[in-house]
Order: sequence, then structure tokens, then C-alpha cells
Amino acid sequence: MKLEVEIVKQLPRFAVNISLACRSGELLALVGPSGSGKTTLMRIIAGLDRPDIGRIRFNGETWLDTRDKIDLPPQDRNLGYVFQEYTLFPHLTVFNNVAFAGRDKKKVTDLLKLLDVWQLKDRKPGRLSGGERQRVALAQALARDPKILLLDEPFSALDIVTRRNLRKELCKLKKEFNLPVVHITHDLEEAECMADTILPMVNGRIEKGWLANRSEQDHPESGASWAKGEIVNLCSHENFRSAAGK
Amino acid sequence: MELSPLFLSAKLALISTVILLTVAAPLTYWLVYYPVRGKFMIESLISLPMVLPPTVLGFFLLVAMGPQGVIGRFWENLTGSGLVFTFTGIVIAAMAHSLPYAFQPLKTAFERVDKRLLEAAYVLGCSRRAAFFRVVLPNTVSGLAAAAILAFAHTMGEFGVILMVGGSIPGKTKVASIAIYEYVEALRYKEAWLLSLALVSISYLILLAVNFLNRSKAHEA
Repeated sequence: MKLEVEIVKQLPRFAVNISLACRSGELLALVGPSGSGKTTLMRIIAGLDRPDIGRIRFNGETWLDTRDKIDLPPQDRNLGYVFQEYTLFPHLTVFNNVAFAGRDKKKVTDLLKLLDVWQLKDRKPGRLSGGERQRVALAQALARDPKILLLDEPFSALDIVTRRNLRKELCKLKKEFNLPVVHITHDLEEAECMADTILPMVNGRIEKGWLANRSEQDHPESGASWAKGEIVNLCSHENFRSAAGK
Repeated sequence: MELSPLFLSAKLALISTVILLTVAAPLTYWLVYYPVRGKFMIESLISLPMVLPPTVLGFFLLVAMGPQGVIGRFWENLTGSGLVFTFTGIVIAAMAHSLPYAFQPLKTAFERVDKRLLEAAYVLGCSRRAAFFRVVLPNTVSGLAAAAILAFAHTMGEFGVILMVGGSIPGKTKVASIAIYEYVEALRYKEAWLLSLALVSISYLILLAVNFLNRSKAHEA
């Protein structure tokens, strides 16, 4: 299963012009500063925004093709989307939030147990901590049996300990569900920890130089390898670190 | 004192409020969430009864619901009976006059619903119509209650429009406010006092009940 995206969308300050592909079991991290068009890209993949021109295909199925006037609504794209801000339904309990997509009770129960929030099943989102909410949001996104998973800075509002725990859990989930996962973050360390592929994104474009500069700042000794400007496509965290010269 | 005008007012207010909310809630949802052309013109039209003298609105409704009017003819073809000077006629008139009073709180409540919740619902496979029932309505309970109270209270005290469309037929269209007017005209102040106090008490009790419900809801959340 493979997600292929080629889109152009003009924003007030710059145009988002991106081409990417993500396979099953691969976690692709789009890293870049805030306001670089990452969320716009995710919203376009989800069908919540429309590009000026572009094409999105999933496993041979066309979700969007502006030339052929194909544009599947978000309801028909069957993806899981964990938003940057918490978007749990405040009037529903944790259980009913996860069951929102209409899955059977057993599936919801399994997911709540898998993400360690079963004990919170009767609580409303207003009474959950940030980490608990994002766990529930992950369970909610997975409850639909999505074909791909989109993560829009899901850990940005969490403390460092919760963030690290959730990163580990997400890596486990990625293996278990074997989905293409597109994860956007402005945190290079987070991307390094989790991603198989890292695409640096600045002002709507893949900017190889940005990652090289960041890497030089963060790890001066590794700068030379990044400065070659290769977009990394690595199979594991260990490979990533050795390629970065650590 | 005759109590039937009071019961008729309550019956009219209850029926027209329920039908009005069923119509006004989807209409407001459509205007708030869909890209509607000429939205401000439609909203101004909905709000027009707030600024029109009731007699003017009543006159237009009387003409429209009369045997030669668009609504009157449509209704007669549908049911075989007329609308003017009937209870059904005053229900429609009360709804038209109360529409802006229900529309404004509904619009405010719908606009306050976080649009990201709707997007989350769409991504989870929920259609726009289902999102209205599953996300918007449960998160706008207080707005719905406010709309219902305002529409109900407004209809309980409705006078001009109902007099124009329904006249004053005892048991059919003679509501409490018209009965009070007639008591005063006939210098029967005692009955006018009693009926007026009854109207005030009912309205106050409704407001108390709704405020109590809103407070309980706030504590629950």
C-alpha cells in the first residue's frame, strides 16, 4: 500500500509545492518550522482543503485529481487523523469518542486497552490530561481501521516525559498496524526518534539545506554528511543515527 | 375568569415552538456552515419580523394565507380547508413572527461550535447531516434552550399578528393576550388582572426551569 501525493497550493506568503510517497509500515516525518505549510499539506491529504492543482493516489485509487475533477470527500478517504489540538467530542465519554466511527464494542475495548486508557472509558475529555487525550485521539483515529494515519504535531502540547512515552507507543503501533504514517513536527529530535523517512519542509517546499543547517547547529560534527543535501530515506532509527554521523 | 384563552396560548406556543425549532435549526445550520450565496440577504429577511410592526406582518400573512394567497391556495389544495381564522393559521403566523427570536440564539450557538470538531467528525466518516445531529446539536443545547424559551415566551405574548390572521374566535384563535385586550376594552379589569398575572407566572416558571436545567448542565460539564 502506497500513498502518493503531488500538490500545489498558493498560500498568502508562498506556495505549498510538494511531492511525496509513503509506503505501508513507513513513518514519514515532515519536519520544518511553524508556518511552513505542513498542516495545509495534511489537510489536503485528508480532504479538508483543496489544492490549486494536484493528485493524491492511495494504492492505485485516486482520491484527488484536479485535472480529472476527482475530489473524494474526507468521509470516503478512510484515514486516521490526529490533530494538533485536541479534537475529542466534549459531549461524549472516552468510550463513545473512540466508538464514534461506529466500530464494534470489542474493537473499541481492545484499542482502549492497547493505548492504556481503558480505565478512563467513562470520563469526558474535559477531565483528561493532555497525554491521556492524545492517547484517546490515537485510539479514535485507529478505530476506523484507517488505510493511512496522519499525525499533525500530536505531541506538541505535551510535557517531555509524556511525549517520550507516547513516541515509543506510536513506534509500537506503527509496527502493529503496518500503515503508512505521515507525521508532521517542528521537532527534529522527535523526527529522528521515530521516522523512517525525514523530509524537511520550509515555505511549502522540501528544503534539503534547512535540515543540513539544523543538523550542523545541533550536531556540528554531523554537518558534513547533511550538507550533501540528500533527503534521507532510512529504514530504522539506528541507521538514521549512523548516517547522521553520531 | 375563562381559562381557555390561557390554555390556547400555551398550546399555540408549545406547538409553534416545536415546529419552529425543527425548521429553524437546520436552516441556521445551513446558513452558518454551508457556503450560501446571498447569505446576508437571507439573514436580513429572517430578521425582518423583529423590526416590522406586527400589523404589517399580520397583513402580509393574511394576504398570503387567504384564499387567493400563495400559502392559502397551497394549503387548500393539500387539505381542502382554509388557513385564515384557524388554529393552524395562527401557528404558522406565530412561527413566522418568532423565527428571528429563535434564529439569533441558534446562530450564535452554532457559530461557537469549534469547526475542528466537525472536521474531525468528517474524517471519521460522519456525513454532514449526521454531524449536525451527532456533533452540532449536542454541543448547542444551551443555544437550543435559549431559542426555545425566546420563541415560546414571544408566542405566549403574541397579539397583533394573531389578531390579524386568526381574529378572536373563542376556543380556536382567541389567545390570552387577545382575551386580556377584550377584557380591558369591556372594563373587566379583574379578569384582565388575573389573566395577566397568570401569563407572568407561567413565563417566570418556564424561565426558572430552563435556568435550573442550564445550571445543572454547567455543573455536569
